[in-house]
Amino acid sequence: MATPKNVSHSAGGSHAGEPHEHITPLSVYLGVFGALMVLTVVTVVISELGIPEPWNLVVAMIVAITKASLVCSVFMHLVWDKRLNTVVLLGAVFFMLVFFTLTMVDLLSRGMVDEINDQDVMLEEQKAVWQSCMDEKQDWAACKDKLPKGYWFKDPNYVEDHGGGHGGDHAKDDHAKDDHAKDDHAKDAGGH
Amino acid sequence: MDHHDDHGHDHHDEPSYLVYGKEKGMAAFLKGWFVTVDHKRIGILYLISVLFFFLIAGMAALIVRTELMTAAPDMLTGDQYNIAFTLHGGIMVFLVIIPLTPAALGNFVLPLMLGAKDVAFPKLNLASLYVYWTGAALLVYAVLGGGFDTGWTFYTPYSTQAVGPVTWALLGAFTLGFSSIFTGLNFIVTIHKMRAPGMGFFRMPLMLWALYATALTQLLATPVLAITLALVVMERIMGVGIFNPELGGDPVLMQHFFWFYSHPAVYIMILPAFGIISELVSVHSRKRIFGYGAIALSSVSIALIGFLVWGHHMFVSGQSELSGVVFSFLTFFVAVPTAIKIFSWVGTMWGGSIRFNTPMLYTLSFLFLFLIGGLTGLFLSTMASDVHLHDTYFVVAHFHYVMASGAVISFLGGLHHWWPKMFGTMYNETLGKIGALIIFIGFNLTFFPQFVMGSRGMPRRYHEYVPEFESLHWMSTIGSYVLAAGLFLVMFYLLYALFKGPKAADNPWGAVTLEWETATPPIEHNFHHTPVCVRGPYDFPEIDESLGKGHH
Amino acid sequence: MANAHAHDPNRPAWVAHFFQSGEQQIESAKFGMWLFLAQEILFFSGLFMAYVAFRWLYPETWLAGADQLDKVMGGINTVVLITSSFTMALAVRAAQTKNPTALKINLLLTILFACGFMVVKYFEYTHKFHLGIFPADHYAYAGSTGLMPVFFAIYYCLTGLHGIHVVIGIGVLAWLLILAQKGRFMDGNYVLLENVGLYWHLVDLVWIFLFPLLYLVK
Repeated sequence: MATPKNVSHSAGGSHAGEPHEHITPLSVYLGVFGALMVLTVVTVVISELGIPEPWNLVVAMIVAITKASLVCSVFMHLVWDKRLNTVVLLGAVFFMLVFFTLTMVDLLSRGMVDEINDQDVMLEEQKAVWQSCMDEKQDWAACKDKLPKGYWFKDPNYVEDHGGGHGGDHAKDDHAKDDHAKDDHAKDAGGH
Repeated sequence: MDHHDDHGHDHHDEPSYLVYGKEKGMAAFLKGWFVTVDHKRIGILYLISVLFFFLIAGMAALIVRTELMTAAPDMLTGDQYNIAFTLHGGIMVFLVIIPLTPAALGNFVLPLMLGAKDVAFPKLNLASLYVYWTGAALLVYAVLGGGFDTGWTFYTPYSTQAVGPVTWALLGAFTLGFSSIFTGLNFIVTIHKMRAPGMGFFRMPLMLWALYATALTQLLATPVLAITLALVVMERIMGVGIFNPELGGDPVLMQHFFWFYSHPAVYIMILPAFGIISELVSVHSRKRIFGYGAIALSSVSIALIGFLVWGHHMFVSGQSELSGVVFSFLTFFVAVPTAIKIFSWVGTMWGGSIRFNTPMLYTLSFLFLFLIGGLTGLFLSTMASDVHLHDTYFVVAHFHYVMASGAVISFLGGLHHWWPKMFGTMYNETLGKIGALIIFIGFNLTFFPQFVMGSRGMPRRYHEYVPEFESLHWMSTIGSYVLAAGLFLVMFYLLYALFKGPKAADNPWGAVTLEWETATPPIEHNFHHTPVCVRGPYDFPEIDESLGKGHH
Repeated sequence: MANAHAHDPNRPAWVAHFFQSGEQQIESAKFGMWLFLAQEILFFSGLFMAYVAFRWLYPETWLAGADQLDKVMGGINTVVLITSSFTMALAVRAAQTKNPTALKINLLLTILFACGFMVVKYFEYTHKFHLGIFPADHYAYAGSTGLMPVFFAIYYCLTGLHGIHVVIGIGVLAWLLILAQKGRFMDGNYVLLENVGLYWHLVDLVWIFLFPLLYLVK
């Protein structure tokens, strides 16, 4: 049973049998509201601080979870409610996290095992097309049609992040582009 | 048959739930059935709906099997065949097996077993029925609009590109999901809050533990299906590219989304079946269930572990090898609580006073067939062997052994067990036994050859195949006709029993759970006064003390 | 349904016949609502999953996409929703303290703030449409980099689904206001109000996460 802190007083016989519930003091609600406002400002400020990835996401989520906890425990009354309701909420969150975790295990470990060479070739092709697209400052609609069909594994801008410099990769990509241009046509002719 | 109180026979001249309102004319009768909030009537309406769609999906299966009798595609074109098996799968999964025991039997039995007068949210219960009918209408519309051939699994990229009424089918399945969610929500609250005084969680009949575990899964898994189908619809009508590799998306991601629901869905299908078997095996062996606590907790464990294993449907889909290993490892865990149940049921029968009546015959069928189905699951959860068996008939045989023999056969057992309580009449016992036997034979003849052909490489969803498999397919098709004959026999004698069967005794099985304490069939409010639970659900008064094995 | 059984004089009239007491009915209603919220969380989780997957796959795209979003509008909306949550909590408190005026005022304020949210959303969306940032097939923004259409697909799905929930909330809150006008919720049976409040707080909770995840990617 919820332990009533501020029990509502029945005013006479007509209220007999009414369940007693905890009434939160106004000051508590105001305090939480104030805290939520402050935390919102904090959210914006820390995003401007330029914390490196992935910690910026971690910090942002910590703040968001703090705000969420305040809303859940005070506005939604979980602190004074039956504990079963909190279990329900946490259970849902738990299964959501299971969904994220196991799916990301897949996405994060793709290509870990070097199975078929074709995958790397495709990746190089895709990078090449995107690179030429960016260089020629073409827009999305024009680029879309040039893409070879197949899986995407990484952001095309990935080229710049991972060593090899701009020039070196560029030269390789030009070759790749020329060699595979014919392949693309062949594929388009034969495939569906 | 003894009762610890005689309230159940105190009728106050109150008519049963079946006829209440009939005397007031047709309008009142229709209103009483279609705007009812009585869980028993809602359960009956679900029963009729579900069995109707079972018939339709069964016909589709017979069409598929008839085409497959010969290796050459002589009956249907490839496209028609794809539509036929999609119809069979889609209707069976979404309209029949998922709601089967929870909605059709559970709605009826749950409040009675708890000692409650209704579920916690009767209007929500009615809403879930109407949502079911709406979803069914959408699916039927898709079928009539030319059918869809994506397979019930709606994999991208085909489902996002296929021409035809796929969007309607997706919307239908989306809607049906909410019916399932509402039912689950209702059952969870009812079980938590409305148990009769004296009935703690560990004095509930195991059927209720099973329905509870099922309801948890229905509530948590189904919304993910809903969002998945919604995203596929968005991709079809608006080109949102989350699953489209051309736009940077990933089609395997859709499979993650889909199976996150669909694996727990198979536990939605089977957990209630386990509950029925617990009831039947105990009552018809007239012995206290062996390992009550183990069975109760294993139900919840299966529900929870079931959320961790979905990737075993995706070993060859393109997901990473590491996640394949992880999912394979986790999948082995889910076999353990299931095995615990089988041991407990067999332990219950041991030393019991077994009656070989129709419900017991279905129970024995279940134990044998589900064991085979479950064990073959191990070959599929082992990634190394699954690579060869995936998308072959081995998988088809596996899931039919667990779903058709699991969910359907136990449902039939439950239907026969609770039939007198639901309708107040008795079916012909001889025909019942014959039906059970024909179904058992037909089932094995249909699906056992499929294990053999699958392990030899016969792919699934193919409508023409190499001649080497023809004799096995021929056997399987004959088996399907035998199975159909058995099911039709059951349908005929049950319909006869409904209208012309002899009046049933109040408690023909001598069971001691609370639903047998009420009138047969029950009055509208179930109980005149809230019953008090004073003993366990399987405490038969005259358990043979001398055996010394009955006390657990 | 007619309750054929003798009433306990202590049993309020609003208790349904299949419940043993008002307490049981209220607890069941609230528990049921929390279960509904649990499934809503799982419903949104599909979209959050897509977010996680694609943010990890395309980090630069995410930066570019978030740059296109108006942080000020997002911030205003966050403040507006949190305030509406506050007034909703106050509305429930008004029912508990049997204060009909406070109840109606707070319900009205909650509705107004919710409408304010939708107005800001309207401006945000139309600004994007003006630039050609339509969902999916109609995407035609000249200043795209990387796979921004994917970012915007997820943006529109998440904020769209959230927006639908806001609109539904406005409708239900308006209905509650009408009921309050008729004098409901003053007899100790205000669990319907509480439950709608829980729904509304969930809508706020989703936005508390959406704001930093979509708008503040740096």
